[in-house]
Parts: sequence; structure tokens; C-alpha cells
Amino acid sequence: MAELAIGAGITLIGNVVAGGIEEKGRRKKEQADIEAFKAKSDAEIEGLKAVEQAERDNLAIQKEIFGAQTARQKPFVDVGTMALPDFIEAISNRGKTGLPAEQFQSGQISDFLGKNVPDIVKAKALEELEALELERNKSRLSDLVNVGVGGVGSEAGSIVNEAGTVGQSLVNIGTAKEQALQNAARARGAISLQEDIDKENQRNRLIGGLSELPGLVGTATGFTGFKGGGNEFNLYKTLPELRTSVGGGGFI
Amino acid sequence: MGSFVDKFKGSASNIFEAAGNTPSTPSIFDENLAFQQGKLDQIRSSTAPFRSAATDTAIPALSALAFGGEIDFEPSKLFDVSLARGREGVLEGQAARSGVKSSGTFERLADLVSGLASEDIGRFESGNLSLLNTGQRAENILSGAESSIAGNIGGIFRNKGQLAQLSSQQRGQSAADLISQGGQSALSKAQTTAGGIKGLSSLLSLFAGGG
Repeated sequence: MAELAIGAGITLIGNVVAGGIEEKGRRKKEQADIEAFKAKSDAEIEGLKAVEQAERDNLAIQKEIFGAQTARQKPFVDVGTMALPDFIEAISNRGKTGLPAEQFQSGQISDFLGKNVPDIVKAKALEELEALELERNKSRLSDLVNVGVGGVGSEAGSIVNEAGTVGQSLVNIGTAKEQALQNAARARGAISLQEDIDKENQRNRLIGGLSELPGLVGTATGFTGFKGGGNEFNLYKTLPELRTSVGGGGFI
Repeated sequence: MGSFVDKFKGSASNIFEAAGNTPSTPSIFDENLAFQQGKLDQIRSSTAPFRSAATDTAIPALSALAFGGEIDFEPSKLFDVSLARGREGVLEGQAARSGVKSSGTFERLADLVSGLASEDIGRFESGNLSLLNTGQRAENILSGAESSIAGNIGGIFRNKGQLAQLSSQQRGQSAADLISQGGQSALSKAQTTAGGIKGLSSLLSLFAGGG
């Protein structure tokens, strides 16, 4: 009987040791899985960070291009904007715009008038030139205003394109960030849960090991129950008897 | 040691907390909205002088011409000069023909004045029409830009909504994954526990002689 008990003990210890080795291996694999999952998640997050940075670089280039376009339009817009109040004044014949009469009193026109006509005629000619110049300047100012509003149109086109392009880049950045955060959250949650499951599994295996005890005891001792014991539940009675039956060196 | 359900709740709340706490993403949306608003302000500012020239100057002037009213107008220098020249011409011509003080002189002078005044008013009207067209172009530019930028802003909110929906779906999927994992583990635990209890029961039964 003692030999049988020793045999059962050895078998049980063997099973426990084997189970422990198996458990250790399983733990190691799970830990490796967690690490691999974490590394993959981190790589994805880094990838999304790279996407975000690339989009930031793209944004800077787009802004520079559109900024340059707007800057190129600025002289046209400025001259039109500057001509506008003068044009409004000129339309109503208020204020003096255009070349002053003195400009005509020097240079070729003045020389021509001075050489060939009397002073009275010269004065009248200059007065008429000034009047014509004022009218001409209305056309000039009108042209400049049209150039200005054309510049505003081009500038607005650039600005609208910029708003669309840069806006889309910002949307892309937001999406990349959101995905990175989602991945990080899922990774953290999954790792945390995996660790919890791992602990639960250890408990479960311990309980599972207990279920093997009856079979082991039965195999080791050949004990199949007390005759006449029926189905009565009497642990206090049966345990000492079991001890006796295995020679007092049992494992219970 | 808390129950598995408690632990699962802890894990899931980590996900919700992390996924729901996205401090950088809203600022990108805000940045985009501010950018769009800034660009719209820029176009409004560039077009403003042209638009107000049309609405504050050209429209009142042309309305006054069309429907009556005061106009802010002075005769041009060209009008004055042309009138002076014309008057001299008429007077000299009349003096040579029937004398200056004749009805013909007044008729010719009246024709001269009305003709020159009409030309002068015509130039005033033409200038204001040009101003009106310019303002209208500026208004069209602004309207087009506003439509585009309004579309951009709408897109931003649409994307924000889609992203929020995506986040919600991902959180839901994450939770579902966890529930599935947790459920399988809980089932495994229950089965194993049941097996253990059954084994203990068998052991006790064995000792009790139940065989």
C-alpha cells in the first residue's frame, strides 16, 4: 500500500511540476504576445506621427506658395485701392488729380508753345491741357481701379485655394492624431485586460488542478470507496481511514 | 482580489478614458476654423473699399440721376474751358453775322451749354457706372470666396462628426472585443471552476464510499 501511495505522490508531483513548466511556458508566450502587440501598436502610433509630421511639412509648403501668390498680387491690389478715392473725387470733378498744369509749362510742350505762340494763347493752351488732363486722369484712375479689383480677384482665388488645401491638411492631421490616440487607447486597454486575464487563468488552472486529484488518488491507492459507505458525505470519518489505508504518509 | 467583471470594467474604462480624452484633436479643428475665418476676413478686407465705393458713391449718384435727387457733382475743368472757348466762338460768329444781341446768339449759347453739360454729366455717369461695375466684381469675388470657405467650414464640421462617429465605433468595437475576451475567459473560468468542484465532490464521494 505504501508503495502505491509513494507512486501516487510521485505522479502528482510530476503532474504539478509538468503543469508548472507548462504554465511558465504559457506565461512566457503570453508576455511575448503582449510585448509584440505593444510594439506593433507603438509602431502604428509612430507611423501616424510620421503622417502628421509629413502633413505639417506639406502645410508649410502650401502656406509658403499661397503666401507668395498673395504677396505677388499685393502691388496690383494696393495701386487699385490707392486710386479708388482719387477716382471717386475725379468722377465728381472735385479735387485736383492728374498732372498739375506746371508740368506742361516745362519740357517740350512749354518750349513749343513758348516759341510759336503769344503768352495769351500759351496760357489758354495750358488751361485746356490741364482740363484735358483731368479727364484723361479719370480714365487712368479707372484703369488702375480695375487692375486693383482684378488683383483682389486673383488674391481671393489664392486665398480660397489656400483655405481649401490647408484646411484639408489640418483635417488629415486631426484624423492621424485621432487614430493614434485610438490605437494607443486600444493597446493600453488590451494590455491591461490581457494581464487581468492572465491572472484569472492562473487561478483557473489551480482550480483545474484540483479536479485531477480524485483520479490520481484513485489510481495511486486503488481506493474506490468504503463498502457500505453508500453515498453518505462523511469527510471526518473517511479522511482518517484514508490516512490509515495509505500508511499515514499520504498527501492529504 | 476584485472580480473579473470589476477588472474588465477597469480595463474598459481605461480605453474609454484614453479614447475619449483627445486633447490635441479638437485644437486642430479649432485651428482650421480660425484659419478659414482668417482667410474670409482677409478677402472681405481686400474687397471692402471697392464694395463700399459702389454702395456708398456709385449707387447713390446713379440713383439720383435716374430717379431724381441731389448729386455730389461740380462742372469739370474741361466744361469750363470748353464753355469759354465755345462762348467766344459763338459771340465772334454772331458778331460777324447778325450781331451779338440777337436771339440766334442766345440759342447758340444755350445749345453750347446744354451740349457741354450733357457731356460732363455723361462722364460723371460713366465714371459712376465704372465704379458700380468694379464694386459688383468685388462683391462677386467675395460671394464666391464665402461660398468656398463656407463649404470648407461645413467640411470641417462634417469631418469632425465623422471622426467622432469613427471614435465611437472604435470604442464600441474595443469594448466588444474586450467583452468577448472577458466573456471567453469568464466561461473558461466557470468551466474550470465547475470541473474543480466536481473533482472535489468526486473526491469526497470517493472517501465517503460512494465509489
